[in-house]
Formats: sequence, C-alpha cells, structure tokens
Amino acid sequence: MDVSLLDLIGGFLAFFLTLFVFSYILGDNLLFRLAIHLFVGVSAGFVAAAVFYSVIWPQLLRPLLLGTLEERLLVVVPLILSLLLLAKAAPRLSVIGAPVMAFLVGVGAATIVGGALLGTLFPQIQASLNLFDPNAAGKAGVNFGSMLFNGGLILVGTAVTLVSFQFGTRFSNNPSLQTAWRAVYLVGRFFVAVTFGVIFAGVYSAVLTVLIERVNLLVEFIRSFLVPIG
Amino acid sequence: MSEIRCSLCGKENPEDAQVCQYCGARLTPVWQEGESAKGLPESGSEAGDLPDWMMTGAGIVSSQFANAGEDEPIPDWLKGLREDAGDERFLGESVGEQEAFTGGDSSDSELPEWLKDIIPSAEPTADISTNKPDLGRIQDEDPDWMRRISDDTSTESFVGEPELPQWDETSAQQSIPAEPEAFEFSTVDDQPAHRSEEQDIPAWLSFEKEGENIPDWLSRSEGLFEEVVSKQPESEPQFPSWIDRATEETAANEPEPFGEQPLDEAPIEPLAAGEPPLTAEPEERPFEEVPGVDEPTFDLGSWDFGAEADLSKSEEVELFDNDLSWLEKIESHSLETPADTSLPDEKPAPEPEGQEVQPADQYPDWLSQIVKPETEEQLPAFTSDLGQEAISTADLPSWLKAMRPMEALDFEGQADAQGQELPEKAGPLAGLVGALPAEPEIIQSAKPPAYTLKPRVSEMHAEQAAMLAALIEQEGVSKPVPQAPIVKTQSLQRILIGVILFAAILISLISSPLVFNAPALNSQVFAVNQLISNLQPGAPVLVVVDYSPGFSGEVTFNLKSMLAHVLAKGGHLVLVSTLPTGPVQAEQLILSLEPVGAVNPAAYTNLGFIPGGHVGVLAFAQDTRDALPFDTHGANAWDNPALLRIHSIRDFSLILIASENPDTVRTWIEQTQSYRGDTPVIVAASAQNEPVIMPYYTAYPSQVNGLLGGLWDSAQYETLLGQPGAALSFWSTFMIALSTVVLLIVVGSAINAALGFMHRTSSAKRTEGRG
Repeated sequence: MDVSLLDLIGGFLAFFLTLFVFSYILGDNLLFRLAIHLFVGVSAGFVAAAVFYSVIWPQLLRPLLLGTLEERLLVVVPLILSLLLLAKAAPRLSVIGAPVMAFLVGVGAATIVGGALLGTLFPQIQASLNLFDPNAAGKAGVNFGSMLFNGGLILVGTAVTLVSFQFGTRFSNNPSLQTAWRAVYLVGRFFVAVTFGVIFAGVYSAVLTVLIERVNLLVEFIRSFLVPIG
Repeated sequence: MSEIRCSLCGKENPEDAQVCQYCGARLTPVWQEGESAKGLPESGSEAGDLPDWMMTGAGIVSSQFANAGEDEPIPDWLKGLREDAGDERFLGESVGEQEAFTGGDSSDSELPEWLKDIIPSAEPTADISTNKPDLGRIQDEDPDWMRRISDDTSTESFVGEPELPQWDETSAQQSIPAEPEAFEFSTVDDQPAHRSEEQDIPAWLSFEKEGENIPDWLSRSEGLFEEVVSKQPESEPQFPSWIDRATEETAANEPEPFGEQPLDEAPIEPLAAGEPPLTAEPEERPFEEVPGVDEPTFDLGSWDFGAEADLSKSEEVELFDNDLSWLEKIESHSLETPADTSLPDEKPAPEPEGQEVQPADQYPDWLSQIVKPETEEQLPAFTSDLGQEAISTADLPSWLKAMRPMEALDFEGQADAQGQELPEKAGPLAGLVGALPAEPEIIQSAKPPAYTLKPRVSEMHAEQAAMLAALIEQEGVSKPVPQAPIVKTQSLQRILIGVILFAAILISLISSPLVFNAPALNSQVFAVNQLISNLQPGAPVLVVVDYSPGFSGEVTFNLKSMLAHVLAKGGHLVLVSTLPTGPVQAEQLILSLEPVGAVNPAAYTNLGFIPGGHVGVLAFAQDTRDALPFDTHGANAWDNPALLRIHSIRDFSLILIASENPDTVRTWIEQTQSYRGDTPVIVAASAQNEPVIMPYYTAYPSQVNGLLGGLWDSAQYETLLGQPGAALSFWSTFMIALSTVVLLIVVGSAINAALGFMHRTSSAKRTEGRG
C-alpha cells in the first residue's frame, strides 16, 4: 500500500481530529474546542480563498485587467456597487452602501418569492389537485383508488394539522362539539408527531451513517498501519 | 518715661497718648478730657484751688481717717478691709483712672493713712493689667481669723474672703470698667488724692470761686447737707456696738496690740442677733442679680455709709437723701434694680414734711465723726441755701449727661428715640451714643435657628418603610443553590449510550458480518437508474455539489454510485456548487470514484462556486455561460466541445442535485422550475431531508424525477447496478447500529415507563397514607 507523506499527515490529522470531536461524549473539553476552532478557522480561510479565486478574480479583476473595453465597462458598475457595499463596514459611511444593500435585498426577496410561487406553491397545489383527478391518475399510470386514498390522507392530514395549531377553547358550551373538536385536535397532533418522527428518524439515520463512516475511517487508518506489520 | 498699658489690647503706649496706637481704644477716661478734665482739681493742688464743698468733703474724709489713724489706731483687720475694698475698686478701674489715682505728682503727705494703704505702692499699671496678682495678694494678706469669721457667718466680700464675691468677679473679668462709677467713686473722697496739677477746676465746679452759677440742685444739696450735719449730735465718734464689742473683747483677751496678735489665735464669736451684719447689703442684693451693672458701687454702701436700710430710717439720711438724692438713687438703683434709671433731676424725691430726722445712732460712729466736725467747719456755703427752694430739674450739659452713670441712662428710651443706636455699655466709650461697634453687625446677627432633621413619620409610613427595607434586604440575601449531584444522570446516560453505540459500530466494522441482506428496491431507485441509463454518450450532466463536508460521508455514498453510472454511460459532468467548499468537494468526489484516479479530466468540468444564493441559481439557470464563464482552473469552461451547446440549464441532459439541506434542494427546484424545461432532476439527498424532498418526487407532474436518500437507497442502487460499493459494505454495520439505537430507545422507554409507574405508585401510596 503506497501511502504518501501528505496522505499520512492528512490521515493523522483526520484521525486525531475525529477523536477530538468524539471526546465531546465526555462533555465540553479542550480537545473538542480545539477541533471546532480549527475547523472554523480553516473554513474561513478556505472560503476567503475560494471566493477570491472563484468570484473576484474571474468575474471582476480579470475582466477589468485583461478584458476588452466592453468587458471593462460592464465590470465598472458591479465594481462601484461593490465598493459602495464595502462602506457598510463603517458606521459613518453605511448610508452609502444602503442603496446597494437595498438593491440586493429587493432582488433577493423577489427571486425567492417568485421561485417559491412558481417552483413550490403552484406545482404542489396542482399536484394535490391531481390526486383527486382520475385522468391524472391515468396519465401517471397509478391506481386512482390508491391515489385518491393518498390524496384523501394528505388532505385530512393537512387539514387536521392546521386545526391542531389553533389555540383556544371553542365550543366549550357544547360537550359533543367539544369532544369532536378534541378528536380533530388529537388527529392533527398525530400527523404532526408522525412528521417529526420521520424527520427525526431521517436525521438519526443520517448522522448514524456519518458516524459509521467516521469510525470506519479510524479503523481503516489503524488497519493501514497494522496490515504492513502483519 | 512710664507707659500706659491699653486695657483692651494690653499693649503699652506713651504716657501722653489719649488713644491706643494699636487698637484705637481710649486710654484716658472721658472726664479727663476737654473741659471736664480742666475742671477737676489736681491731686497736688492746694486747698484753695478746690471748691469749698469739695475741700470740705475731701478734708472730712482725709482728716477724719487721719485722725482716726492717729488718735484711735484702726485695727489691721479694718485696714485690710479697706485695702480689700480699695483693691476691689481698683480692679475695675480704667487705666487712666488708676494712673490719676496713683500719680507721681500727688503728694503722699496729703493722703490719709488708710488711703496710702489703699493706693498700690508700686507699679500700679502692672497690677491693673493683670488682676490675678492683686487677688493673690489680697488672699495672702487676709488674716486667717477673718476667713473663719466669714466662714462662720457665711459672709463674703466684707471680710475679704479668698474667693471674690460675685460682683467682684464680674468686675474683675471685665477689664474695662464703666466710667460713671469711677466718677462717682472719685467725687466722694478720693478726688483730691488723684487730681493732677495740670488739671483745672471745671467750670461747673468753680462756682464756689465765682460765687455764682451754682446749680439749684447743688445749692439745695448743700443746704440739706448742712442741716443734716447740724442736727447730728456732737459726740465722740462711736463705732458700731459690734465693733466696739469686738474691740473690747479682743483687747481683753489679748493685751498685745491687735495688729501684732496672731489672728489665727483670736477667738471669734458670732455676731449678735440684733446687730446688723457686716455684709447685709451684698447678701440681700447680690450684684449678680443686677443685670447691666458693670461696676459695683458698693463703696458708699459698704464702708462709707453703712447699711442703707438704716439710712433710710433716719431724718438726716432723709435730708441727705434729698440733697444727694440723685447720688443715693443711683447707688440704690444700682444695687436694687437697673430698670429704675431715672435721673435725680428728672424725678426729685418727695421732700418729707414733718418727719423728724432720726438720730444718727443708726450710722456707724466713725461716719458720724466724719460728718459732724467737717460739716460745721468747712461746709457753710454748702448749706447756705438749704430749704429755700425745692430741687428743680437740672439742665445738665451734654458732656455731663454723657458721664452719667450707666444706671441713670434710659437705654430703652434712647433706643426708641435714636433707632438702634444704643449707648455703649462698657469700655472707655461707655455711655456714648453712636459709637461704631467693635464687631460688624453681621457677626452680631442672631444665630439662625436650628431645625431638626428628624422627619415626621407616621405609623403607616414607618410600616411601609420597614417593608421596603425588608424587601431590599431580602434582595441582597442569596438563596442557597441546591447542590448538584456528583454524578450527573444525564451525562452518565449520554456516555453509556455513546459507548454502547460506538462499540457496536466498531465491532461491526471490524468483524464485517453480513447479518443483514441488502434492502429491497423501491420505485425511486428504479427511476434514478432509468434516467441515468437513458443518458447518451457525451450528454452534459449538471452535478450540483451542495452538501457540507460534515455530511459527505452519507451523501457521497449516493453520489458516487450515480456518478460512476453516469461516467459509465459516457456522460460529461459539469460540477457547480452554491457553497464555497463545494468545488473542492466535487473535485475530491471525482477523484474518489472507483477506480481511483481513472476518471478522465476531460469527462467533467468544474465550474466552481455560484455566488448569490437564489439569485445566483436563477442567473445560472437563465444563462450558464454568463454566470460561470470560467472553470476552477481559470480556463474558459464553455470552450469544451461537450459544452458547446449549453447556454442555459435546459440544455443539460440531466440535473443531479446532491445536498443534505432541504432548502438548498428546494432552491434549485424552485429557481430552475421555469428554465429547465423537460430536463429531469435527480436528487441525491440525505436521509434527514428525504422526507422533505419526497413531495416533489411524488407529485404529479413531479418536480423531482429521481431520488436517492441516505444509505438505504444507496445500497439499493448499488444492488441494482450490481456494483457493491461503500453503501453495501456499511449496510450491515448500519443495520446493527440502527438496531442498537432502536434497542436503546426501547430499553430507555421501558425504564422511563417503569420509573414513572413507580413514581406514580409511590405518590398514590403517600396520598392514601395521608388520607
């Protein structure tokens, strides 16, 4: 097994840093803090370098220095806006960068809202309606009954979940209605509990997979040293 | 040249100085200045310079005492008494008066013997400046028997007690005596002794020379005085009976001269009941009870005229009182009450009619002897006009009014008439009105009243204040914090669960057991396989590497198998990321594909980081070339032949999104929804975000065409491909760890339920026990 020095150093760093992070099982300690601060520092430096080489240089400096006149003129506007945005760092000059920040926020909000409407809300509404459409079930090649059941389940689950988040004591003067309202509330809470349970199971499954991968790294690192000896 | 010591500041000044050079205080008395000074006879002047009545008065006293001293030697105790009296009088005298009294020009031969004893023999100014030596000398000279007498009879000043009487202490404390008293003292019998030669007789006293301008009141006084003298019996001077008895007893018991006998051995008998006490007047009207009297005027009442009560009973005294009513009143007022300060000329005493003059037996005998011969010989003119006219109100000149006794001044009336300008009560300027005050008025202002700072607190306020104080005090008291257990249950459980889980994973990885089979295939895995399988060789596949490095261990399981499948189909990978670390992870991912390093660099293009989040994704979806013109190596990415037909996101054959963050996946789905067209989307998600992505996959029309979530789907996909990879190798370990976690959850839930049951049972038992 050919192991280079860089791989060996990387392996040691990965091994010990993993152990440092695992030491958190004993509580907050110096090793865990050392690993965390190291990750934060490396990430910050790496992000700065990555932004420079991925954004500033190829999209701002390179066209400004090496580009044509048209490219330079096009770069002047984002350059000025970027310089104005840097004024936000100084409290006295923050007003100068306010228009740029307003432009960014406005464009970002519009982009997010437009994307949510066109990419999630309207398609999901259309999909929910199709659950009760036999033609849609036919086109999808799915049994309409099962699609209707799924659609009904989704509809009931959505309705009772919304109802369960209502606060107050409605129908307190009518025992029968109060019991029905209480049942709807419990069903809604059930859907909410199932949803959170699924998400928790997914998170637990994800981190468990990561843990296995990390422990496997330790085992493989140790095994890489044991195999030549053996 | 002798110097005059200022009575105020105590500094010495030249003899001829009128005022002190240092403090400006008057050094000489008022009556010595101006016309009054000129009118006073000199001490060494001849008898012809003095008026007859003055000469008579002076001669009476001097000759009488001289005769008494020659014929009947006065006992030493009486001399001592006179010395004390004289000293006490001098204690309060002004400096000028003292000097005049003991002036060097005065001839000692003309002074009577007793007056010589009175006058300090040497350094009078030194004695005046400091009263203590005089007092000490007086104490030393007091005989012991006199002290015993005073002790037995509880008398004070008359016998020269070591302790000065109250009035004498007051006068001794006041260094500056009142001027009128000095004048009064000098007019009786001491004027001839202390008049200097330079001093002339004042105009008002020179009426005898001129034979005219005699004041009416004075003329009446002369007449009255002559009448009194003429009515006194012509007999040998007799001392009071008590003096005679004491003298006789002393002479009988001790043949030696009285003055030579040791006084300590002399027997002392108490006074008889009917005899007047020696100190009747001072005891009955002590000076300390008379406010406003600066200078005691005991002289006349003590040794000159005896008891005033006796004088008031006799006709001679009545007449004499009429003659010298103002003098007697002044004295009596000074002894009785200062409120009655009416002048004799203003309120002449009513002349008694038909009242017989009582015999002079009430007088001391020696006083009778004094009055009788002198009045017969030397006071004819004084009594010439007696009884002719009543005493009329005298029109005193201003300078004489200024010299009136302090008691005679109506301070209140003057204050009312002249505003707040009250005459001086003490010092050389005593009696003068309008003198500048020695202290500014601001110092004399009354002290502001002191108000108490104690607040008025009612009971309710006190209770509220106490409650507030208690609350504040409780705020400062720290409540005891419950002691934390040595071993924290939660920490112990965390360590226990971690150790169990870590041991299970470690054992599973080391042993590599194949306990669990590969999972069954599901539809979404088939969809992914179908989409990738449909790729044409050289088809551009957009790979979004948007997972964080922490979840690379999970997401890479899915992504590796799919990328390997894409590469196997001949697709061209275009790698982008919205995370700064994404380009590096993408590069590392390509390099980690099996076989390691076998991937052709031309088979993929790493466009790098897409800045701007949602906006960047949208821009990239709209125009891929403008959004990311260069790859991570700085080369023009779009010059690659595989990417020549790529202008927007819809030009890609497949979009593969790998992220553990559901928001990132949603951003790509939403922002590319309008621009991707029919380009299929496959999401390589994590197990934690798979439920969130699932609606996009299950919807119709679906927004996500294929989904691989977690290790479970990765194992299926590898199984489907028939290429076991990392996912399948970790499958058994994953299942063992997952089973362990499930077991821990079940056991933990059971323990929690058991503890809850036990707690409820014990609570129920306690409740039943209490019930």
